[in-house]
Amino acid sequence: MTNALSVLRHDLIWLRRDPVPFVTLLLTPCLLMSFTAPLYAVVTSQFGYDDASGADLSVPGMALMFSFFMGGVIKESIFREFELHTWKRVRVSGLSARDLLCGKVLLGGTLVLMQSSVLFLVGWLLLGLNVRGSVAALVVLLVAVAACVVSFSLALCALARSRSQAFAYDRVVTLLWTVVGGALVPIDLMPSWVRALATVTPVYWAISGLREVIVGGGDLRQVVAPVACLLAFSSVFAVIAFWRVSTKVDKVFRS
Amino acid sequence: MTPSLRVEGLTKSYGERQVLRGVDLAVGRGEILAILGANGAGKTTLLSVIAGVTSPGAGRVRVLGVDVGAHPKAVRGRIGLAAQDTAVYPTHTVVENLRYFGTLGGVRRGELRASVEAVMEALGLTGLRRTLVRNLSGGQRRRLHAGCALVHKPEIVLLDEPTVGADPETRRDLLRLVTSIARDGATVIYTSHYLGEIEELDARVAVLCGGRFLDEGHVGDLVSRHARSELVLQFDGSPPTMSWPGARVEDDLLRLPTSDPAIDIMKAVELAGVERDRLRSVDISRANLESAYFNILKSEPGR
Repeated sequence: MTNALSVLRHDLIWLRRDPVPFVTLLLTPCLLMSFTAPLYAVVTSQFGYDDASGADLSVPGMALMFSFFMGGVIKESIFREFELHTWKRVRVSGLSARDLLCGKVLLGGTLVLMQSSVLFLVGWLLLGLNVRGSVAALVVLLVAVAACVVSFSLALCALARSRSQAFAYDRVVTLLWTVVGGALVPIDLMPSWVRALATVTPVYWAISGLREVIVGGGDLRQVVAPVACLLAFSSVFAVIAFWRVSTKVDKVFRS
Repeated sequence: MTPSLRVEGLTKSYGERQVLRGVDLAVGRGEILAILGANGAGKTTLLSVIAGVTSPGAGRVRVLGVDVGAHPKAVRGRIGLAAQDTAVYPTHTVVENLRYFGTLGGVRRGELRASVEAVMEALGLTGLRRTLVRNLSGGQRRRLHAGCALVHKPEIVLLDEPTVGADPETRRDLLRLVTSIARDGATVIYTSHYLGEIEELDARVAVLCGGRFLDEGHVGDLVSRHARSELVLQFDGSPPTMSWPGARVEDDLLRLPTSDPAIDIMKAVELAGVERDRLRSVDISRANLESAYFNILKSEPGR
């Protein structure tokens, strides 16, 4: 754990010196939330949310989509180690691949949670977001989302053959998940086959939980199922990531 | 005495290409072993296997008594590797890079500062401590690259062409540091194409060719076994035939092997006889590691 924290501290210095990726992933959703909140406000009743504000729908959707984009920072930090030839040096220094990846997990988790906190705060302070349910339930959901984003990013890194492949897959999957999972448009308005497909995306469970808390006034009990599903997705992604690291990345590294 | 590093019957192939063909090696504590060889001879692969970052095809590597293949984690942290490619973080300062690798290498917090300062001092980086690596020159980055391999005071130090692209001052500092860490007890494996450096280090030398060692020994031993000094005579026109054991003509220069140039130079001028009027110059080509190295490679059939 000490070594993983060293990796986290080291990567935070990198982000402090080159904050543009992180800052753009904060500013862009803020802008999109402010553009889309008035649009959602017009149609909330048609979506079946009579008491909801536009921000109640736009903030969680944008936060979810951009949290998956924030996973790109983890991918960047991993591929950077290979490009700078430091992966080998770090490993010879005594750090295991797992320690190194745990450091990247901490980095990703920290960034996603920071991003979500800022977006929900901006939504509440400036756009009229009203969390009717338990804030604790919201926090638990956001932590589960962060776990899912991080494990998904690691799995993509382990499966992709190059940085460009990893980012291409990331864009496609994130956009599909966001739309199909109902983060941008409520799932009830979609065709039945899309609704069936939605349940196999983590975004569906995340947005269901978030709407339950924000609009439906849900507490911890109401988010048990979404959180359990998000953690199940996270586990699958994590298993893929660590399996591929030990069988592929590490094999390549050691071959 | 048990060697710090022992390599036995090491083989390694990449697909059809066999890079290492049964390499045996033993290096003691405080010893510097220089591995010489052409590009593709297998030097980098050998170092990677020793460091535990590349799996061997067959054979065994024991570092400090530990089988690297069976327990790679047990030796990591006790090895310092400066690979051919410079591996430092451009977005971090000199001191941040050294601290990071020192921490990962297991240096205790209380000792880290002193260790980092010592490396910066030895490599002339103290004045650049707060400089971002992306603003350093190539030579300064090479110094830092080597420093990152040494900051955790490893017992086995693997330096793969550490002076490539380095200026003379950097090269001098690095060689001094290598000598110093060996004197302090570290086992150093050093590869380089600059044979003058190896002579300066007065290292034991092993010549690697086609994935196996052709010969090894201290610089002096290799030179005495494989190289001889020569008198090099230049004439106006073609060199005359001279009755001298081993005499040969190369590029219109008459080369006469000698073990005592001071005496033989007079004999050679005398033997030139009537051709003396055409003699333009006499030079002494001293036997050195370079000539020994080329002669060792020439002795390898198929080259």
